[in-house]
Amino acid sequence: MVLEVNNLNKNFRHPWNLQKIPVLKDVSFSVPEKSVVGFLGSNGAGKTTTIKCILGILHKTSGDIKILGKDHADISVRKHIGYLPERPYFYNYLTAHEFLKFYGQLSLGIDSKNLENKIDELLGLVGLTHAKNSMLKSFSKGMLQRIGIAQALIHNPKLLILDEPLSGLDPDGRSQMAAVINNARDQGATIFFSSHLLDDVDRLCKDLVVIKDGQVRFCGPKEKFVSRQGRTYQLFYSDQGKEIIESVESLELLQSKIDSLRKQNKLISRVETERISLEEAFRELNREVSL
Amino acid sequence: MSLVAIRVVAKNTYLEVIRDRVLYVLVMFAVVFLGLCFAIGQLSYDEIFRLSMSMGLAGIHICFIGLTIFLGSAFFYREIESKTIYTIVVRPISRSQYLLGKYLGLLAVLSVLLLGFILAFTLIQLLMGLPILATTYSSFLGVFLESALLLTVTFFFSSISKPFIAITTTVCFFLIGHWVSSLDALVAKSDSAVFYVAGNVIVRAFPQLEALNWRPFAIAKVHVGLEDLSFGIYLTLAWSLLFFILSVMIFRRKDLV
Ligand SMILES: Nc1ncnc2c1ncn2[C@@H]1O[C@H](COP(=O)(O)OP(=O)(O)OP(=O)(O)O)[C@@H](O)[C@H]1O
Ligand SMILES: [Mg+2]
Repeated sequence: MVLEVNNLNKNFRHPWNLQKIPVLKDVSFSVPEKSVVGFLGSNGAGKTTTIKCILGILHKTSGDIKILGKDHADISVRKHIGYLPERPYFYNYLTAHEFLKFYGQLSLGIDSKNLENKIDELLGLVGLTHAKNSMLKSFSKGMLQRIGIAQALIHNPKLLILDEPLSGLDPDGRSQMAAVINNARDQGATIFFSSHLLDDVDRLCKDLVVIKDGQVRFCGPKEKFVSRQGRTYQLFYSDQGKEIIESVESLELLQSKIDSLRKQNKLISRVETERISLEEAFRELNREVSL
Repeated sequence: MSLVAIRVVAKNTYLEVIRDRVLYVLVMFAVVFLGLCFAIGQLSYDEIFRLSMSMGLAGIHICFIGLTIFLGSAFFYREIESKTIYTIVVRPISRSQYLLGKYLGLLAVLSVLLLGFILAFTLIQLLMGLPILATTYSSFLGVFLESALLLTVTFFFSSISKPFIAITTTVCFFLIGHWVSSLDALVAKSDSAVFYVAGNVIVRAFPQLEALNWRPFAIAKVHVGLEDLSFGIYLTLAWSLLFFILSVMIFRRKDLV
């Protein structure tokens, strides 16, 4: 496992009365090597807080976090992590080139041989070659997001943690960003990224961690999540020569329905699970919990 | 690796600050203020040297300390509010190394600014037809030491409070730091035991910043004695270290939200 989170708890304190506000409650999940895992949850679910705890930007209240088998507070492990924050802001008065050089030197040391090549390669990859010598203060939001992902990739990290990498980008930008993420995966990086753009999650990853109100509701393959939430079955049978389609809401109902049809000697031709989209599955989950 | 990281952060800080237009607005203010100080010095007939020197040097002192406090707290404000810090603290650099890098970068900016002030001061002196004396320049070292010390104080207050409060408390700290020498003299003469104890506590709790005020030497056209010099350096190192360590201790535990 590249990333293992066990029973992570994080409490904030109310600024005035100092009351505890539990935001993460026993969050546990793991990210296997070379996988692309989507971290899904609605606004305020605790995605950013989880990511910041993993990275040590926030101090966890309790729990155990391991990155590449080492405790996450171990400085040596940070050489292998790339991170893109949510809504990134960066130094205004550095040029794109200086900016990437700064991060490259921080992670790789000051006289890393291939840094210049790597900078040019990344600028090309994110489509910012033309802005190499422009200061970041002149960058648009989309350009900042791109230089942000370049910054996260400058040292060829083994684990890439991206907080909403696709938000704030136009459709073109989104597919470019997706291409960059796929490219990093092809180079052998493990990617953990949060999002609430479900289409993009659907497009990019096979595995999901779903969080709701600070608790992990699901962790595993995307298909399993969709089928777990996809409750509708369609039962096709013939009744006196007519084909009848009936929708059934749950697996138990389906069984009893089949039993009763069989008793009536009806011919069941087929049963279909209605494939619901990830988006529907996600909405379903939210509905279910708020009941 | 760690030294490299400190160096990289320092260099980056230097570049970022030195290119910021806000800095130049501040420097402009400072230069105008400086000119004013000299102009006031000009008003009196006799002892032109004495007066313009003391006004000019005092002007530089105030401007420079103001810039120090402003830069120190602006750094914290900017770095944390603008979240650039997130992408740095997740790199292989400890928070103490990061803070040290920032400190050195800002100190480098301040050195450049001080050199600029010294140049401006010399020019004004030349224009006024005043003699250029070596004794004048040692007082600038005192200003620099005081600035290095107060920068750590700003770091400390910024790490526990919002920028406005940090600036206010550091200014108070600066004022009290200059006042404790007079208090010390009062305490020494006092008969009251309560005043003696309380006064001593206050005197010990603040650095004697007046020990870094070498302007009287410059005005008297004498060199700063070795004893004063070494005490000044010692005072600066000791207090800077104390406040820096306190800042690191707080900064390490801080949730960067
Ligand atoms: N510094 C803080 N102090 C108190 N509460 C906080 C703090 N930061 C976050 N929270 C609370 O923690 C919860 C989770 O926030 P978080 O930013 O992790 O959500 P998120 O899943 O990233 O949401 P979004 O999709 O909007 O980015 C929210 O209810 C938020 O109000
Ligand atoms: Mg978030």
